[in-house]
Amino acid sequence: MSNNPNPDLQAFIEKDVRLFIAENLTFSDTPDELDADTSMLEAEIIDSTSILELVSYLEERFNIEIEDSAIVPANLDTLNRIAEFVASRLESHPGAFDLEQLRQDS
Amino acid sequence: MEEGHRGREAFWHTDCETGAGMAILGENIAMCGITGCLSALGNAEKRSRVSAMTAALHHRGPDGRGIHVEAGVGLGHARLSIIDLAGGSQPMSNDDQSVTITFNGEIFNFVELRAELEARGQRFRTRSDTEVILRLYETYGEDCVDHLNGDFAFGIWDRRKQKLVLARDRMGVRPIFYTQHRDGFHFASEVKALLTVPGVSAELDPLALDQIFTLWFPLAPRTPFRNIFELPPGHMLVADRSGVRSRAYWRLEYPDRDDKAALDRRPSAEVAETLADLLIDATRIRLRSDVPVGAYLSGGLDSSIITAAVTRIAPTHLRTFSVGFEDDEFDETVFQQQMVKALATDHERVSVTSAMIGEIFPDVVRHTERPILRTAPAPLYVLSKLVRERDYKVVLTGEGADEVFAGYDIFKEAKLRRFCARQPGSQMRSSLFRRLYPYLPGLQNQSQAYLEAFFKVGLGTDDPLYSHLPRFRTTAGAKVFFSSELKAELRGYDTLEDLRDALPADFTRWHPLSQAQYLEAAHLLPGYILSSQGDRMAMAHSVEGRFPFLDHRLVEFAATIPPEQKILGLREKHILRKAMSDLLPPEIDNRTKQPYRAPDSPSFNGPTARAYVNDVLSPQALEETGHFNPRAVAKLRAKCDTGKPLGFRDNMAFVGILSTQLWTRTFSNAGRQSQPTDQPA
Repeated sequence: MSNNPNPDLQAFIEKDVRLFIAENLTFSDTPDELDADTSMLEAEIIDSTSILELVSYLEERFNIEIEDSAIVPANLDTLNRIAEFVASRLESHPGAFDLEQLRQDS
Repeated sequence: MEEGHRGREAFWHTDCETGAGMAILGENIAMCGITGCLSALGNAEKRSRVSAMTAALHHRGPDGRGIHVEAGVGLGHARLSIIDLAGGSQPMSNDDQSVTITFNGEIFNFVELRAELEARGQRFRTRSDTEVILRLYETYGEDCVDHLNGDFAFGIWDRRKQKLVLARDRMGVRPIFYTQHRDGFHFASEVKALLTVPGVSAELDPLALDQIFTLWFPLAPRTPFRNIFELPPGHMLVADRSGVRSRAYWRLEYPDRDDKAALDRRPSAEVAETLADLLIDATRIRLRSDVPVGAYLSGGLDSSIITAAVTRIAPTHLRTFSVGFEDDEFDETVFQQQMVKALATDHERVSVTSAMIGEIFPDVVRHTERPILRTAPAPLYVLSKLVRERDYKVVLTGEGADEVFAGYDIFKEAKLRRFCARQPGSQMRSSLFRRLYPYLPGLQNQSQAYLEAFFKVGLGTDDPLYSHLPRFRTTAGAKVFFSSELKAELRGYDTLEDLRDALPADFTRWHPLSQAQYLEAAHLLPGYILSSQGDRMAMAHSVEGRFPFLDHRLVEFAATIPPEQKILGLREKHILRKAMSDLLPPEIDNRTKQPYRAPDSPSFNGPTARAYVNDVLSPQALEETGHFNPRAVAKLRAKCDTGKPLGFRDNMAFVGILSTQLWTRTFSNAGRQSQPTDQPA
């Protein structure tokens, strides 16, 4: 993980993934209800199918590859962890993303 | 139930006592519906009421109705005529008219019971098993049920004691529902008969919906219909002037795990021999019929064993039937063909498509009479239609083997979870989950951490529901779609606490496998498998299923078999395989178990299904019924429309929401109403 995560980027990722989860996993009208540190395993949001949905979404949305060994709760179990994990992946591949472009695509 | 007509009997009579694909002299069949009421109404009014109730069960017995009315009581019977009657019509009274019975089901040991009663001086007017129950009641009173080996539901009016006795078979094959109404107590084989009674209406019981969206079934005696109850399996109910009381006359029990003497510790070969003898006898007496008996042949171990047993007992050309799927993910045709070839049965397969499931689903819900979370009953509805069209009315199936001999994956999963819990973090141990579910691609590449999390390895192992908690929690995830009003009404209610409270007092002293088996055999089996997938789908086309694995002698014996002989390592039904191995081709014995499943949400993409799905899942329809959050359902539908495969929870949610909406449209046409739920007797 990056030692100097970009707070803007992380905030953007967190918000983006939060909306994805509300639309596709919790079917909720109030995405902000999910605390960024809530374990999605314990909250029964993530199961053996939805983890694949989440990984697939992250790979497509942020144009990153997530190898099997990285699909672990330490990277993906809370919104904050996801944001940090994805941000570190993006930052380790400069030029692979454009935050402004992502914002415009939202 | 029906007295055999000589001409047909002679045609079907064979020299062997039981005959698959043929019939034996003077025995009976009872694919029927029963109704009745205890009421102070006048006889003409009671007759009219019972007649209307019985008419609603036309599909269970389309060929005739019998009504018995006298002061205080009315009994009804919908009959399927297999052959002309000489004396088996129902309701049936004894000689002095003091006892009258209406009966649905089969008493498989009625030949032996009749001989015993005749030896005691009883005289019979007919050759029907109905009369055997009647004479048994005359002799033993309510204890008559202890003598019965069969699948039965009956009502007996005892005029002298002015009481109505209802009884249901031990495993819950045949149903009885009842309701206490302002002018009397009413009962029937299906709820739709009770809904013909003026003043009885269908209102969804919110607690039952919570139970279904957690367990797949309502906890008997509760049903989805508020104030309409189900007599639980192995129970008897007495209604008289002092009120309505029900009690268990039989319970599924397992030995205390510390009581080594309670388990059958003989060498496994001897245990297997006893098992084989019992299973062959259970099959033999279930071939007693005056119409040809066929068999369902899924291609799995259990139906293959039953089919093989039948061909050994009655080496004739057995007629077998199966379901096939266009989708390879669900299809077992290859294995069916192996058994057909090995046993030389006369086989017919009906191919079920997703579109067919979607088309018939409203009819399926009309017959299940309860919301369901899977479409799996639908193909069995198609199959029973095929059987009926081929003039077969009785089929033997392998139902019950997975519960009685520990065949379900959930038993191995629970064993593995306990194994992992002893050493959390062990990569080797958790990797075994992948082997357990080779047909679930989503699990194959999961990390150890997620495998442990998904299978709740960290969960304390002392919860009595430990074996089933992952399943229950996954299912309960579908409750996110409940409307805020329904959630508010259910606040503080916990289905799992209700289930824990319903467990036997000594449950926690049983072996963990016994505990898991009990949850399946005493709850899911009658609550879903035998009802929604069993009786209701078969009886929709007047077909009767018979289940040798559910013979209570076999069930009681199996409970004493040491757990390690049921699941050896991770090999399920070990002792059953050992007992029956000489009957089966090796490729069937060795095949990997595939659970019976059917396509769920993709079944509703065809034009016919789309039309009614759009109707009952429209925001307006959802607002009207009030059970679900329309915006959340819209998101789920949007997800379905992407065409990507849905996970278990989403599939169950979609089918559950759809079936609940269909249930409401079919039975109540009314929205959710906030009223206290009465407690049953």
